[in-house]
Amino acid sequence: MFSQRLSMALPYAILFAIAAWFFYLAGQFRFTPRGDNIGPDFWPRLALGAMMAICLVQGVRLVLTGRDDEPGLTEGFAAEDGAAPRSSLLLAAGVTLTLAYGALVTVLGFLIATFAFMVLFSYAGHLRAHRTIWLSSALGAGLIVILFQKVVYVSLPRGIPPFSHLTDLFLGLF
Amino acid sequence: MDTLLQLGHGLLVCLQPFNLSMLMIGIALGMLVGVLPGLTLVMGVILVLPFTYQMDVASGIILLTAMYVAGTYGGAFTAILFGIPGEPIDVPLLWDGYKMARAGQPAEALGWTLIAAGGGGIISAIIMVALTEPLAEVALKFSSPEYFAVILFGLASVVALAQSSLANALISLCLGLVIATVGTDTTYGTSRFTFGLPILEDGIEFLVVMVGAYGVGEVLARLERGYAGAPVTQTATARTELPSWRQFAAIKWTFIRSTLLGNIIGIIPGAGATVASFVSYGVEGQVGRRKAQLGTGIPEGIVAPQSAATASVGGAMIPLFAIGIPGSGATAVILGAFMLKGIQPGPQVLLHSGELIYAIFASVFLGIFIMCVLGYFAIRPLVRILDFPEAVVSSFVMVFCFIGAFSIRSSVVDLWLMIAFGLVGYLFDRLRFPIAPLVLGVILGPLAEESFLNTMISFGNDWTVFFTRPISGTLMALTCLALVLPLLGALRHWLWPHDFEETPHSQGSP
Amino acid sequence: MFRHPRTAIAWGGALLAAAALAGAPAVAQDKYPSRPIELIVPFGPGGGADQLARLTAKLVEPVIGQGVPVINVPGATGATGMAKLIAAPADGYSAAIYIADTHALLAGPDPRWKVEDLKPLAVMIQQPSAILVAKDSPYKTWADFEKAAKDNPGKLKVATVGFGSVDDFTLKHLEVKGGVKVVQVPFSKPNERYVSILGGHADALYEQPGDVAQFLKSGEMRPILIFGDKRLDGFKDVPASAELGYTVSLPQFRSIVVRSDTPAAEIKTLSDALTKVAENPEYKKFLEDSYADPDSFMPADKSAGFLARQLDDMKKAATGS
Repeated sequence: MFSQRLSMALPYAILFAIAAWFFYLAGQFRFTPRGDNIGPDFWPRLALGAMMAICLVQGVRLVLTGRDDEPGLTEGFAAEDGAAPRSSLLLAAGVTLTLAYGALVTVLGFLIATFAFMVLFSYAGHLRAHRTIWLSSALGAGLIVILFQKVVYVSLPRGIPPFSHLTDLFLGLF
Repeated sequence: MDTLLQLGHGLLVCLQPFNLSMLMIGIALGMLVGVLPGLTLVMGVILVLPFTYQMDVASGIILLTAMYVAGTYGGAFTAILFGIPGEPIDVPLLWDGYKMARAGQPAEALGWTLIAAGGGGIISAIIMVALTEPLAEVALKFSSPEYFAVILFGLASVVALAQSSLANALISLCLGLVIATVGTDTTYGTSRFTFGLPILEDGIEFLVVMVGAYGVGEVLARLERGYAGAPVTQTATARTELPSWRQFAAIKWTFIRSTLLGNIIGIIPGAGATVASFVSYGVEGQVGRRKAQLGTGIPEGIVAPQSAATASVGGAMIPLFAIGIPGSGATAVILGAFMLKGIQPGPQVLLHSGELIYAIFASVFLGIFIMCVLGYFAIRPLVRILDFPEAVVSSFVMVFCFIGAFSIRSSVVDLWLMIAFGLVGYLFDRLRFPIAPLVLGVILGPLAEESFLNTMISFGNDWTVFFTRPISGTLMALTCLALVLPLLGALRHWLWPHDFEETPHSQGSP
Repeated sequence: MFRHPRTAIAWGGALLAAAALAGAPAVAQDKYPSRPIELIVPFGPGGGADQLARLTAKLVEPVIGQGVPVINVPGATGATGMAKLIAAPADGYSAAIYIADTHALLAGPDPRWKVEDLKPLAVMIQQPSAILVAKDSPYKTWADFEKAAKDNPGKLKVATVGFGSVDDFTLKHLEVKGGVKVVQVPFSKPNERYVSILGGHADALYEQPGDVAQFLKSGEMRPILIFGDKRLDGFKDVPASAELGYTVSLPQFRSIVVRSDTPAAEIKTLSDALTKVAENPEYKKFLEDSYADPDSFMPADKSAGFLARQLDDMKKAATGS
């Protein structure tokens, strides 16, 4: 019972520790003080101090009473509790794909990386409608690149050779 | 009468084929930018700016203004249908709009945003035309203490909605405020919490946090459940459902209050549509007739932020035309477009180039009208996107989030940060910490800090000025009310939890 | 179409490989520039640096025959944009607007880049700075302002862009040399800075007259002191700082820079193109409208020395000498 209360208070203890570490870091900012004016450390320390105080009160309260709050403002991600079991495998697949995209987009270039991501992410979502997946991914990646490189300009990664050649070739078509 | 005549003349200018097509393109682009998570309105207007070089002034400004108006509306679609805010202004729409959609009424929810955006926009445009000069003075009344008070009020009133989980909401808010301080501060130029990484010198853009925590976080959370259960039921039969006159009349005070609030916040140079949207939702939670049900999917929660957001457009135009001071980020770009043409908005332009100004005024009216018509017909096909396999739609959503990260400052680091905040959003959701205060803290934190620091520097560290100046004093009093009331309730809940045993809280109601 | 996912993936891979191979020889080294050159503006849209970039981009595109997309990378008085430039390859396809305020960071502690990391293509515009007051300000002249500041040291408020900026150095100089001690109120956003004096929240504003031209033309603001040794056209009765014995003159210059290890041929191409831009009548009108020095422009070879001299002056002013 008591250990359960402790584990409920654990997130608050961790947040308290993080806030305290940052509070200490805020004291190490390098700046030239100007008279009596408050420095650039004041505002972050105000927020961090408040955060530490709340974590402390909340943690102690949980340990003493064991009562958790009911959620207030929720955005409804979890609104379908019990609707379907969570699958750590799916989550891991999604996270891995996203991280891989971040790592490879500068190498492969936006066009190839995006196309590959869209295809794989759709397969990861247990969809097996091959035609839909390949077609929508190819069209999607192509149209997005045209839109953001030719119509309005956003600087998207071209990739490194030889992949950048494909990007240049593709854009050369338009 | 003279004004109406000039407005009529302006309307004729707008109806010239080229100007009309610019207006249409502007609306389409504005809605597109609003829909795409990651491409913010201001960024969209910047991207289109180069195209106005070759046009005459009127056409260029009409294009940008139409984008601005429509951009405050387009994001409602993604927020309500997918739970992903296309713009920061759409975050409050998640609390009631998305809930209403998930309860099987996506078309009704979109109908309410249409009415709110159209009505709020038109009324604020009327105010803009009729009262430009007297209202411009409002912009000059605001200085640092007042900016701070407005922003604090916005923060407090939204956080106060969390009620019994106030502690978690406040922790989330503080975390947001701290994230916003990462990087080089604007006043001293000091590096804060950068850990010696050059990457972090640039700071963490709010867009990265917002799109990451909501967009990526939501997609991951749904993927984890294998996209089980369509997010919205019965889309195939969904039709556009505009509220009936009686339904609308029931919440007319919400509408009027939010529109006026949005208009005034638009005028203030330090605050734009985002602050308007949050503050309006917060005010609804304080004084609305059905404030207890706010956050469960009621129309008031859709109308309050949406009408304030669109109404802020008319407000932001007022100081731009009357004194040459832009009232928001997007109007700052519009000011830039004027200046590139060698025109500097201000009193003389209002006097001597009346034709141009009234053409722009007229384009706002016409733009809102066309936007509503487009919106009406767009609801049905857009709702049907939900019929596509969610795996495909989600992959598109993810890619648009990625583009948003690139569009900030063309850096892959922003992509990494966005992915990181996607994981944070997911964890917050699992641990039942609200995400909204975090995002709100990141968006409003820098504004709050700078105005606080400026006040302290300007008034010799005398914090009482916040309470002794009339405008900021009033706002501070309201802030205290907004925070103290739920705090007292929460305190009672903490100290005497048994009082509440017999009245079970409804799940998910704020 | 594809019965098995594996076939589908194999097909996709084969297509990609084929396309990559086909593309490789097609992109041989063309004449520079063979693709768009990104022009980084280290500030938000609508400001002086942004306007300069967009005008320059528009005028330089026909000269070099390639697009010049402008990218806003705001943050940290331009340091964020500079980090972006320095991180990009030194191939002449990335350039940045580089202004006096950003240059001033090099005079402060811990600068994040060295003056040697950058090579200027050209100095595009130089504008003198000024102390301005609102139309109905009780300070009719600089003498009024100076007297009030000396009678109430540390009471008058002057709105500036931030601590450690050129504005800061100049005010420091006034304090050390002339005993004019004021409170500096930093506003990083221009619109809030202008409202501060228009609404009577601050007593004076440090700004380039060109950036507030609309308020000068309408009479809402008026200059009371111009920094430098020349009086300003149109405001001939307003004293220049050199006449009053203040030697500080840190004009707001805006230049265009690339990484210093960019090939010399590329630098010459771009600098020559910018020289043509400077001769364009539209550009000359822009200088005039901005109350800028009509002889602002300097090509690449002169710009480097100018930047070095400015840095020395800034360092001197920062210490108050």
